[in-house]
Amino acid sequence: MKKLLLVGLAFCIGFANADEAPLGEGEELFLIALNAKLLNELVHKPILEKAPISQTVKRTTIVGQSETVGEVTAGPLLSKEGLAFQLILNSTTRLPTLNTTDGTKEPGEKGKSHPDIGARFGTHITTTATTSKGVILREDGFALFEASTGASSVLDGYAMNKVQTQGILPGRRIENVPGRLFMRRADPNGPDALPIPGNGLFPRLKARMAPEQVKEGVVAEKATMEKSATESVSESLNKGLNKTVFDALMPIHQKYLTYVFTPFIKKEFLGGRIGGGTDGNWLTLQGTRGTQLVPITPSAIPGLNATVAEPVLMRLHPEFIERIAEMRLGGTLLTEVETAEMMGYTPPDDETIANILGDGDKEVLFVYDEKKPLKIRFAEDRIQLTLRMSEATTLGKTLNHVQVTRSIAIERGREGQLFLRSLPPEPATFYDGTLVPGEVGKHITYRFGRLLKKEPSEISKNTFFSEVKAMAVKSMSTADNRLTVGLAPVAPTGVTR
Amino acid sequence: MKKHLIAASIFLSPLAPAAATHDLIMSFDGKGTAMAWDAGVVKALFKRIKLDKVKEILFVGSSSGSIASTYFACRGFNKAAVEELEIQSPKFAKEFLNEDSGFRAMQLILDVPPEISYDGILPIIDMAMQGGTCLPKLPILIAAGNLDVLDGRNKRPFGGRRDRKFNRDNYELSLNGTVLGKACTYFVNEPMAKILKDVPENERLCDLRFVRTAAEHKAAILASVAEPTYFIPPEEADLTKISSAYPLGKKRRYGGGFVMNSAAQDVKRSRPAAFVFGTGRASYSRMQNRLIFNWFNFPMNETLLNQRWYFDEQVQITKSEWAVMYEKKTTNHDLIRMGEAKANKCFDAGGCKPDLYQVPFYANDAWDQPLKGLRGRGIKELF
Repeated sequence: MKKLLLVGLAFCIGFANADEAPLGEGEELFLIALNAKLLNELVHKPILEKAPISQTVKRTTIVGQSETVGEVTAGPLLSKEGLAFQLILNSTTRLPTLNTTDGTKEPGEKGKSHPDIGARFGTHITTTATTSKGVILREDGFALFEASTGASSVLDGYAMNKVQTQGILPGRRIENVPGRLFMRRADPNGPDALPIPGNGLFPRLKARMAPEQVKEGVVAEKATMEKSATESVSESLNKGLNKTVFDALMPIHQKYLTYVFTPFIKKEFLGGRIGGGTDGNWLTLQGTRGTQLVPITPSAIPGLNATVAEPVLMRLHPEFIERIAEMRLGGTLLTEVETAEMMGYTPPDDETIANILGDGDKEVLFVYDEKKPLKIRFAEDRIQLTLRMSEATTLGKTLNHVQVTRSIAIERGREGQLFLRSLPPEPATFYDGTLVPGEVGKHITYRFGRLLKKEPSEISKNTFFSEVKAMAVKSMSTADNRLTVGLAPVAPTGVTR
Repeated sequence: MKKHLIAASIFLSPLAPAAATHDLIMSFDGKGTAMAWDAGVVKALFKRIKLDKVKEILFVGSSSGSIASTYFACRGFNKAAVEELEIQSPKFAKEFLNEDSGFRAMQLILDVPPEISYDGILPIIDMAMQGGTCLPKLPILIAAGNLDVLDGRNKRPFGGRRDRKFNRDNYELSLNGTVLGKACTYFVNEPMAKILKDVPENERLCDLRFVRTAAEHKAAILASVAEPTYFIPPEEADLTKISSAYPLGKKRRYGGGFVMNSAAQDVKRSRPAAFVFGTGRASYSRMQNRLIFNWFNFPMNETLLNQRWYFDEQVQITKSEWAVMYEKKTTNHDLIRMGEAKANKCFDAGGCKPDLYQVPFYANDAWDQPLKGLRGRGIKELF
């Protein structure tokens, strides 16, 4: 983004002859649109997570480790109030557990289930879930909806490990492992002892019957166990997605507040508002002139339709940059060399007095005009830039209200490449259009032209947003006095048409 | 002086005071987060220098160079210290500060305060100061700009007052003929204060701030690293410890070492025969130079050229090398290697004598001892 803003500012050195009518209330200053399919491509991610589980269902302690596999996808969330999307996590959670029944009767409990035996058995519960979470980017930052999960569970595995009953001698237990009975010493508080009452009648008989009893109990409680697993897994998925999304978006939210909301809206650099809207095809952010925040329907935005070839579209009206330039650069003192360096010109490596200190009075020392220091016009495949100087000093002379206009031509290669070619500046003029006379006029024009690259630069080779997904400029147009740039992922994605 | 010799004899190794004839001023010039470069330079220097030829080492540091100069002023310039710095330097944090000028320019345009807290750099300072407890015994000077005098910024991110004048001869800033004050402060420990006594107050380029405790020395480093747009400018805690030719305002704020990036000159005037060696500093970009001029009416590159004049040898750093030093992919290991290689190249070539400089006002005036023949000599005599 930084790189794009710098490119945007670099475009802004300049110009203006065309005094276009200023934008009215609600008219577009800039637009950023993202194709819904690309959104999914950016977000799509496989998931494999393991988590311990320990809980009690009725009198059964369940311990184990859940394993969740799935994938996160994203889709648009219809909205006119912000750029909105939905994250969807489709997952299957496999929960193999080691269960231990607690043979102690609960107070007031009736029935004969298996109060005098302890059992350890294994189950498998599989939960299939879909978790979704809505995210909306409004003018003042991100808002997050709570995640919600729809899930169902099935108990699809059961195996008995061990059964114990209390023998008639203290410290002796009858154990059934499985199908074979034997007596063993067991410390009631030791790790091998299952939780059962201290005594009981017919322990061997009970031990022989116990596995069947336990199995019947598990069958009887199957629905409860599945319900419990569903609730537990759902809660875990909701919590997990809420946290993951919060953690991922909080730094972006902070950056948005710092670099967008505070300067552009709170400090009113934009002179307008930032709205958002999402439909089935596009997620958009749009800066508009005026004080009203307007609801946005992407399909109603001119130029944003099914014929747009690139999955990311950025559109800029000159007023956006002109206003920022006026607020931030107006009245600033610079030379043409320093200005070029600010815009990315790399000075020569060799150290000479001229490189260190400058060319003395040959350089053009100027003051950006307080009013419209830069004028920009987009037309006929050209970016025309006019730099307006309230004061310009060179060759020992100081002139007022001088402007220099130059253009950058957009050129296309045979194989779809895009080039930007700097054209020589037009002769320096005063604001009223009359030529700056004599050597000084020629010199100013020469000095502003000498730092331009002679060769066109291939902008389609540059990549942006590499932190998320490398994108390259695929199209560029200047229709309707707006610079429209289309970007697409560098690697083939199937989205780019 | 006797005291200095005793101090030097403690710290210099090996000891051979009988043969020692030369003083050496070591200037650690500011390099931001690329300070590991200096570890490579001193490594190369230590391999060649004959310490028995050195009577006393005087340390000067600016910006991040204040940390390296402190490191050696606390430990002495000896084998253990040089080796330890090579081990410690790769641990220096770099990522806490984004030095990309495009990024910083964008922050200024968007009115996002670029200054950050000192949290990222404090561990490095503590390491240099041996757990934050060291008050250097060897003579040391740390330079910092006086923001209370210099600051002329206006609401525009790249703008400032244009009605003030900076005098390169004496580093004074004036408005309508009235001197507002000195542009910088030298933080000096007791041994260095005694050395600088020789320079008359009206000729000394910066105010003096006496440092007598470890806490004050740490404050001096913070004042020197607090370059504009880098760190929140610290305030002076005790104005009574400042000696100035001009009345001070109610508050003093420091704004980093950019005013005196190679801070050897007044020390050199006090010890005209001393050799001056610098770890290197590229000139500022034209844009950076203009920005500082617009804000503070201070011409960084012009003064840097004056400062270079005083050196016998200064490792040269080209602009392209400078750019590589700040690339994200350049590690501290890389910086050490680069610094060592560049210093070796200098020494092998017979010395990097400063050949691009401008003669300062006090160039040939060291109390009847002209400095002209006592600069640009290289430091081979110490090898």
